[in-house]
Amino acid sequence: MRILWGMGVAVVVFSAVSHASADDLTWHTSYPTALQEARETGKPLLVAFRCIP
Amino acid sequence: MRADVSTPLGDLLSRYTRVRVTDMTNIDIGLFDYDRHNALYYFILNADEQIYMRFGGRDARGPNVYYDLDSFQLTLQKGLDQHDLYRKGQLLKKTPRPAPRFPRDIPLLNEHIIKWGRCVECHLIDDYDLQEREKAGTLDRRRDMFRFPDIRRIGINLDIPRGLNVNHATGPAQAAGMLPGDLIVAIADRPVLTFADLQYEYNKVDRDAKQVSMTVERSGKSVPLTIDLPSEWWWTDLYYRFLTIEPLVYFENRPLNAKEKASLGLDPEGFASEITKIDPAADALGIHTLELGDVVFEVDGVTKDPQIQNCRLYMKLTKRAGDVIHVEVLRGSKILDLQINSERQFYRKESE
Repeated sequence: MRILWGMGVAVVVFSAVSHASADDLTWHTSYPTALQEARETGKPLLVAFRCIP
Repeated sequence: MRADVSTPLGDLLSRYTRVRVTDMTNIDIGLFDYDRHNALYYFILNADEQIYMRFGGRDARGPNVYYDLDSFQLTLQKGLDQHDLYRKGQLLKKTPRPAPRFPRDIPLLNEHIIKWGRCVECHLIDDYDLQEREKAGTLDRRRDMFRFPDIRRIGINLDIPRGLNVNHATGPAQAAGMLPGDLIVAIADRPVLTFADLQYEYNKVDRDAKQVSMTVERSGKSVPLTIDLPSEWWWTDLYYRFLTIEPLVYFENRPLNAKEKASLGLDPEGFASEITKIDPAADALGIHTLELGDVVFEVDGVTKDPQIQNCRLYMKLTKRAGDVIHVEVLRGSKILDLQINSERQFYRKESE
């Protein structure tokens, strides 16, 4: 079960897009763009490194 | 489970600017420093690029053992708490921004991957970096090859959904006084908020260290602990790292105890070890002709090392991948001179 939960973290987090409202959960793919938005909005950054080992 | 904004997880996520990086080519790896043999790894930081915490981490059991939605939500909330402190000017953990460094600054990575327009995968960064260190003679195998030691080896077992809460302690951690329910808050006087933080800071402990200090919170109080580090505390199973610098020898062994060495007339302080498993490929690839039960007691004329207790580990730490290694072996009552043609691996990399 723990492994399923673990694998689910990436799936759940990155699939949070299709029910997007105006305040949607889209993810930037450019770090510089995200950094600029964080500077403008005052929000913290959540940076996910998704790599195949 | 969907993570739209109406869910607790979605609500937490919505308070962040989120970015997913899948190509490391232009990423500042000096800032984003982590164990790159993780398929998924998170950083929480502010727009001044002060890192609040990391989330992720793994050990030899698999890439997902420390991934848990409960601990992820806990981490996201902690990140927001840290951000509040930062905005109020009350951030306690001030970390200077590390010097910038990019994958293109690693010559071999540039030459074999970037120059050809290939994807800079996370694990390639570390692998080529280590090859550069080997070339330069600055490689420290205990630190660089046996990286991110397993905390379970010193008896720390976490209640993973609850982050850094201790589930149970055994061995050295237990002897130091660590208790179930303790919350680990610092290691070597460096604050930690997640397992990934703990693993990252633990990796910085000098490999010659005999002790490591930790601080736990228990019933609202801060409790310092000093944990004795056993010999080879830093050893980890390297199977999933596919490191080019690791000499592949295609066997496993068990170090003999003092009594066994004495009965065989071997150096009592030596690293004589019995072969317990042989990879079937050893014969097919012409790596060696060792047999189960063989006792390897001498490696290239050396029988002992004050820091190493088994001959396989001695080879990993002192030989280069591709070296021809001469061993003296006790097989029954005979002493044999044998050779191991250690192999260099090129998993998903260009051959050199």
